[in-house]
Amino acid sequence: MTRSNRPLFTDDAGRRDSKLVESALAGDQKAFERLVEAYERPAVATAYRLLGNTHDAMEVVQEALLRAYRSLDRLKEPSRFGPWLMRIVSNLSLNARRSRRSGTTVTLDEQLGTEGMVTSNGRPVTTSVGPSQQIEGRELQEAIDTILDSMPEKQRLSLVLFAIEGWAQKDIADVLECSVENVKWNVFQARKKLREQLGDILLD
Amino acid sequence: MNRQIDEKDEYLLNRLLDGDLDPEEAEALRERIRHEPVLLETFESLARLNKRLASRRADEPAINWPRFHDSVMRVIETESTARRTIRFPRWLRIGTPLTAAAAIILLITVYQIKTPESSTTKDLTDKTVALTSPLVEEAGKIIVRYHREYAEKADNTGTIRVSFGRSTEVAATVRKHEEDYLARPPSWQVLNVEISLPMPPTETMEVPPL
Repeated sequence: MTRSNRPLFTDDAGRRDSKLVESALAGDQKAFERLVEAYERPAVATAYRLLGNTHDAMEVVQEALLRAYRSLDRLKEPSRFGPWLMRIVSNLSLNARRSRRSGTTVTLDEQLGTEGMVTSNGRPVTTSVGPSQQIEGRELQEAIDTILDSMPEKQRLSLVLFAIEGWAQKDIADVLECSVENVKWNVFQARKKLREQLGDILLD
Repeated sequence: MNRQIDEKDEYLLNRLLDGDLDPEEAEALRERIRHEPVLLETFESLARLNKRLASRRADEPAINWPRFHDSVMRVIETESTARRTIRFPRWLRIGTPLTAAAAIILLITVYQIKTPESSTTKDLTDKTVALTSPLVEEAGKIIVRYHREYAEKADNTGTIRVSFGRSTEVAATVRKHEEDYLARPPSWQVLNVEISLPMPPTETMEVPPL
């Protein structure tokens, strides 16, 4: 019944990031590369949830990392590099959504091919869902996406990061720069809307 | 499904689902769920929704991670080489209201000189930014200095590259200065320009050719 989402921005990660940021600022590019290694996967996963396709997600994350690199000296708390970067990713993703409104979702296979590829969790890519399941799943997914699209951004982000990406509430609060209570409330409101609007579909 | 539930109860059910309630609160709510059908119905619906949402976690972007990583680092590397990064002390990086409000002060020292025939050039690019250390920190502001040599005509097409600046304001100021310069009689030469910036330079910018 209960589920604890995994924390991303732990104290250990903060201490590590702090050192890496200081080294990167001193000109050690390898240090920045380690920061990229630490966050590129969750960053792409988040952008992917918000944008709906792999290509846009990769583009946004590359831009976000470049901006982070350019502005590293403006980061007041180096230990907060993670939330700061993910905030840039979220903002860029939302901007991209507003401007591009990419209507077509490119399937992963179409996008890059799956041979030899792994997901952000290191699992091999599989496409083993049966045809009828695919149709039902796609319809429900489209319905959910439509409702999610109509939500205020913080509500949408809170739900996506918490319920789909499995982030800890505190991490989401860090990225959204709000309280944990606020995140809980946003998740609640988002679920409420989904439940009300999906209605009986959820009973299937 | 359509039976009404009190919003406060629905919020509690959400918290139960997320494991946010302490054991006593959770047990009390579970007891209520056992006896109140509307709570049970809502909780089951919430659980189904949560399961649906969580199942989407399996749909992850399929990416050739080493290739993506290399691509990102190439962009960073290019950025690193292309720009000259200048680090300033923290106090200088703080955009105080005073400095933020400060207008760009343009001090142009114009010297009237005799044009030496040997120094005429058609290319501004090589001659414009000639100082090796154009940036100086002074009492809370950045002084950007550059000088140019005499240009014979105003039909230059070179790009003036300035290794400072943070906004289009600066670009516009430099551009205005260049326009003023080109409007002067050929016997006039701008030797030194000082621009006080309220914030430190962070990136290289290019002033488009006139």
